[in-house]
Amino acid sequence: MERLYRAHWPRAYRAAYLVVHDSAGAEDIAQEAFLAAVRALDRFDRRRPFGPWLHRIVVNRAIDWARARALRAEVEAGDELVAPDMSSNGVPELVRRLAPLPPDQRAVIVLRHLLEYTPGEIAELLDLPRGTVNSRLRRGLDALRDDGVPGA
Amino acid sequence: MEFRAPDEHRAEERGWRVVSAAYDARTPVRRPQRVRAAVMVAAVAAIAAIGVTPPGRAVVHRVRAAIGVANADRALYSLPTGGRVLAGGWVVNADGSTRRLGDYDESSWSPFGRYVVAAKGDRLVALTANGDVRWQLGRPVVGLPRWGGTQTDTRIAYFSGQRLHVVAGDGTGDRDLGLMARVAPAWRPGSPFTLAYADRHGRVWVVRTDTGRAVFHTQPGRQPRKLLWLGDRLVVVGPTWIETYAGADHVDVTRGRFVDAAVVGGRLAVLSTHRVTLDGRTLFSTTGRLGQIVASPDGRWLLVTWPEADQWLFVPVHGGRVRAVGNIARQLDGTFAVDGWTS
Repeated sequence: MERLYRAHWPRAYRAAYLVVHDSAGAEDIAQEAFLAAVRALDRFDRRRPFGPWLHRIVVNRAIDWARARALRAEVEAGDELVAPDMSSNGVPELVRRLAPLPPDQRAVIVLRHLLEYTPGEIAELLDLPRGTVNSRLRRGLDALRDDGVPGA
Repeated sequence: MEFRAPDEHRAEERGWRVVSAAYDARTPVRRPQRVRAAVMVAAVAAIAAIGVTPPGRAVVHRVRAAIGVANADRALYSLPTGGRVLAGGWVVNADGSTRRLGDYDESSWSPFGRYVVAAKGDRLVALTANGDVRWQLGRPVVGLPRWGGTQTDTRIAYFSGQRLHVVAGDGTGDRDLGLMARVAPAWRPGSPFTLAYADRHGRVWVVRTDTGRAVFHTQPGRQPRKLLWLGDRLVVVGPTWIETYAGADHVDVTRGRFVDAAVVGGRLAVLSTHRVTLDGRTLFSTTGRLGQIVASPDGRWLLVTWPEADQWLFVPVHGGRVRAVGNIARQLDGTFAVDGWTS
């Protein structure tokens, strides 16, 4: 299990972070995906690659998380009693550029350009028609290009 | 340059602690019937061959222990005393009847057992004990709900991801208290809005959630497994220690290997991997790995779970025969963990 975890954690966490743009949320999502893997371990068909199976869970949960955050209204926290958030304050350029995109466009861009799936594989992972994947990729990349991201 | 997300290494280590704990605790897949039958035949043959000599009895005990308490009831015909047990989305009544509230992962009784708060995925749901939904909140990755308060004014503490929230018992006024360690918070009995919880540095805070005032906090350290109140004393249970605080004063520490603890009749029952103790006295022991401990509302019984054997054990606090019930997960559609026992 540890070998599997160490091999797949970094990309799972990075993918979640790029979609939700929240380190705590990304950590939860990546953990939840691995916990789902532990629960399903005995039933998992070991002839299938683990990565795509895991990434499907990560990205779908990340999309749901990002949408739910957009809907909920949070009241101010009682900060005087709370330990400080230790996550990094640095925001890479890529993350800033992706942030304005809707979650489902961010997700397909992350799957295509970080996790290097083909559009056909993305369609299968997210249970979407291939045309939908292509159009989300195109719209997302167009938005990034308009924003001046080189090579997008 | 490869993209790296913030706090990546520490997140990986935190995640590994959670995932490895889940991996270690998972219930092994049941072997196919024919293999299981072969194991049972071998066990019976071994028992018969050993006879009744004292060394033989010890071996018989070990064999029995490895496959659960012998002569366990095949189904939950009744609880040994009154009340209702909550397990995920199930209520088990004293007469053994069960009611399914819904498809929930975790749940908690309200302070007087009239309601249940339950978590499933991205929903926090408040229900009557009959399963009627009163209200629900959509929050990411909801878990560890705990209901506290008085008969007329209650609060629910719960986690949304790694963030601790407190909401009123009617679902209003949700407050985000911030990033915390994902350890179940504990409401202090008799002090309606006083909550104990652990932060990410291993400090345990005791806070008045109505005013936001911190009553006290412990020093940073390792993450606890469980927080509970023994009267007005806070008990912090870790994997190898149990610490007791009277206010900010650290009054006691016990070393050992601990899995869980429960307050029963004003005393602390402690669950180690293989035994249940009360005031240092062993009530039950086994070679199997025990899971959880929950006290009956009348303080006379302890419900101890034995995941590998798929058994719930009812251990009498004042001595007597341990009652075991098997096939729990099958009766409760895969649910096994206990979330509370109320009157």
